[in-house]
Amino acid sequence: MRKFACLLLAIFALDSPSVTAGDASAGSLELREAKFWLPADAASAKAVQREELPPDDAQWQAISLPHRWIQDRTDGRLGHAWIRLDFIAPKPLPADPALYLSRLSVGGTLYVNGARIAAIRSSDESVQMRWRRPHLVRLTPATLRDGANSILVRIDSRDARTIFPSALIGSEADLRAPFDRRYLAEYSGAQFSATAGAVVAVFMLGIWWFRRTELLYVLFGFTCLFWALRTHAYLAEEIPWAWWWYWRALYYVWTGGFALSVAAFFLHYAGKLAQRWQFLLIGYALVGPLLLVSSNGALQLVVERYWIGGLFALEAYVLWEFYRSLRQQPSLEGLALAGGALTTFVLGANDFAVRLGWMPYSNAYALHFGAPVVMVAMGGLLAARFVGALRQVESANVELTRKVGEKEYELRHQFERLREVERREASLTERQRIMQDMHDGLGSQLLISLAAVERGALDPKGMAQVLRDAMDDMRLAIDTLSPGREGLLEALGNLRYRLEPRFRAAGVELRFVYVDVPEQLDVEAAPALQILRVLQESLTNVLKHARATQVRVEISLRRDPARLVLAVADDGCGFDPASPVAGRGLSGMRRRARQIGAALEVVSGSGGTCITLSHPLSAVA
Amino acid sequence: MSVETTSVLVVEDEPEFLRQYCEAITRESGLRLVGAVTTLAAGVALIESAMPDVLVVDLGLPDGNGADLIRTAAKRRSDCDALVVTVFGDDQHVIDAIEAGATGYILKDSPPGELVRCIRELREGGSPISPSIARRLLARMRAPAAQPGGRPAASPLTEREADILRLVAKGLSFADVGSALDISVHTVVAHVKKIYRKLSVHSRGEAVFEGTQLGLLG
Repeated sequence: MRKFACLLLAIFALDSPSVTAGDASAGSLELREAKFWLPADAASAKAVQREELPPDDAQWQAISLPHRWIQDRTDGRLGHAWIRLDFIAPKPLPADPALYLSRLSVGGTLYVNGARIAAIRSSDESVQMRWRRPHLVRLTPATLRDGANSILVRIDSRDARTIFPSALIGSEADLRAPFDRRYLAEYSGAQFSATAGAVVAVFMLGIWWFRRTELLYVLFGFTCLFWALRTHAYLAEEIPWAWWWYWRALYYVWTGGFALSVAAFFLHYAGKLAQRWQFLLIGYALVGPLLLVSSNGALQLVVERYWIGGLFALEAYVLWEFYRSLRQQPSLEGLALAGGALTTFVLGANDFAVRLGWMPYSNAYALHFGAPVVMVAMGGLLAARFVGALRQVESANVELTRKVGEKEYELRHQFERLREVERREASLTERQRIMQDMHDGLGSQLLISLAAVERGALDPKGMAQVLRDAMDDMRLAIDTLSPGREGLLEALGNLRYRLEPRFRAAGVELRFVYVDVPEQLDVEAAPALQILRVLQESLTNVLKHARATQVRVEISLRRDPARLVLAVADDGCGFDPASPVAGRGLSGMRRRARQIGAALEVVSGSGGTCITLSHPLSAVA
Repeated sequence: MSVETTSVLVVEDEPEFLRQYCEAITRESGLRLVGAVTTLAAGVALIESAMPDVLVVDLGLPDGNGADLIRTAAKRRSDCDALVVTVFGDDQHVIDAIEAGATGYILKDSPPGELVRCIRELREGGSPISPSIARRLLARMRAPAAQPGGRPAASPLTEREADILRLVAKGLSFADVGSALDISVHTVVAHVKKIYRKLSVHSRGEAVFEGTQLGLLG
């Protein structure tokens, strides 16, 4: 974009002196005086066919150059006119004499001293010529004479206005420079402008295609597109006459499209592109070309004068609106945009004036220098916005990262607080459970014993037993509730380890057998404690009452349904489950089993006792 | 005095238990009670004057921690057996005592014969261990907390020792462990005693190491 802008500016800078200062170059002869003859219509057509030169009695009329030949007709017939350039040949005669015409858009046939030396293709019955490039005609030295010479140019044109420029005669080497400058400015510059416009248009419309909400991009895209098409059309030099008006209409569509896209861009930028404006602009763009085509060129002058004039009025209004919004919210980009628009407006107005013949001596169209200026301003604005948007995204990202970090910190903080609350709650629940347990278990046990002692119903031996039971129960609770304990198996092992010396002392063999038990058996602390209590009570009962020689504890995992089964079997004397004492002990064990949803089975006889606790497991590891 | 007689020092602040232990020891022919005191200071003094073979000690003494007494005894005589009496046999107290150099522990309310049996077992080179203590030891000595200074963190346990701890931790009796590993019960408890010694050395090593780090030693 920047390169494009530089190049355009360079071309502009290169050409501007030539546009303003004319094409005169040192050592060449500039002809600003000429004679003009317009033969009668009927005669001229035949004369042209016969390649006749003007008769001696032709009514030459003195003119100054550039000269505008106006034909007020729109029927499409060809008119013929003659220009005569009389001059004294420069001394010495250049070895490579040439004639330079900066602009002769309809072409012409050239005669030097009566001899036909060149024909620049002119409009004829089948074709309409539109030369955009300048002409450099080589004059053979033989055709030139010392002293007075005469060059005749026949112009065939059906245009309302045909301009004949001032002419330069001199050395071809000298004239090559103004020719090249002109060529570059008018032709190469336009070629480049069209190509660049098309590329930018594709790019901008591409952006819009992916981001439909960015209306500025599509407006700029259309501006560039219309510009490219208009400039491209401008470069077409030979158009079939049958298509001429359609071609012309298309050219207007593109010109109007360009002007109105710019207008829409400015209005949108100023925030004033309402829907009705959009319809109005599109409608207006179509009116002129439609009038031209439907009247088959008859309304050409009306369209050129009033429709294009209307475009300027519209642009002027848009510029005014833009200026007003700029005053409210001044900005550098807005100012640049306004500057570009104003330049284009002035240059466009110049072209309009040239076209309508209000600018007598300038014959250069300048809009294609001005348009790039406003387009560069528009493109620059979009680029600035794009960069701004990127920056915004970047800073938004930074902000977002910061916010996310903050939120993360907050969340972590909250999470920690929540965990703290949960931890407290858990420990509270646990404490309540332990209190409840002490109340129901140890507490009531001690209380009952206390009552018995006070009643004098407990001898020292019985007392020792009561205290030992209380101690055992407490050890079990500590064993189960200690932090860092791992599962029921370890607690079972601890219980066995603790009771072993007592069994040894009593001469009872204690065996633990594990059947199908996995490495790890996860049972919650509360049910584990009750299971262990049942087991401990069964085992101490064996020691107290059974008079057994051996006791076997089988711990097994059963399936369908999944359950843990503990069986305590001794070979003692057995007991009567119906007796009050045994009944009390058993009912305590049953209560514990019920609390954890386990089943307790007691089988006792003369061959011994077997107590089986079956605890359902939710899942088997 | 017979050569096989084992001298025992009892340090226990509860007179009831002190009397019970003393009775059990004096009744046993192979044991000789060299002292029965109730304070840490008196215990230290007796260790200095009459170094016993076995030290029966309560951890919670009125003038200090029984573990310090065990350390003093271990320093004086590396083959001294310290038997800790504990109310609950809870992990932390037992581990502390083993780290100080104890080779056995026993619940305070064990049957009187149990104390004597335990002393005898210790002198014969075996130590008892509960599943919970086994698991704690396994965890501690398996992964000696990633140590700074790039010292290789190798486990001080042999495969066999680790196997024994693992099986005990699972709740197996010494007899079951022995049959599982195809060794005698006596060998099992002998291994346990070795493990206790290792933990003690290990923890002392860690202390020395930390001391070096802090510039207090060497």
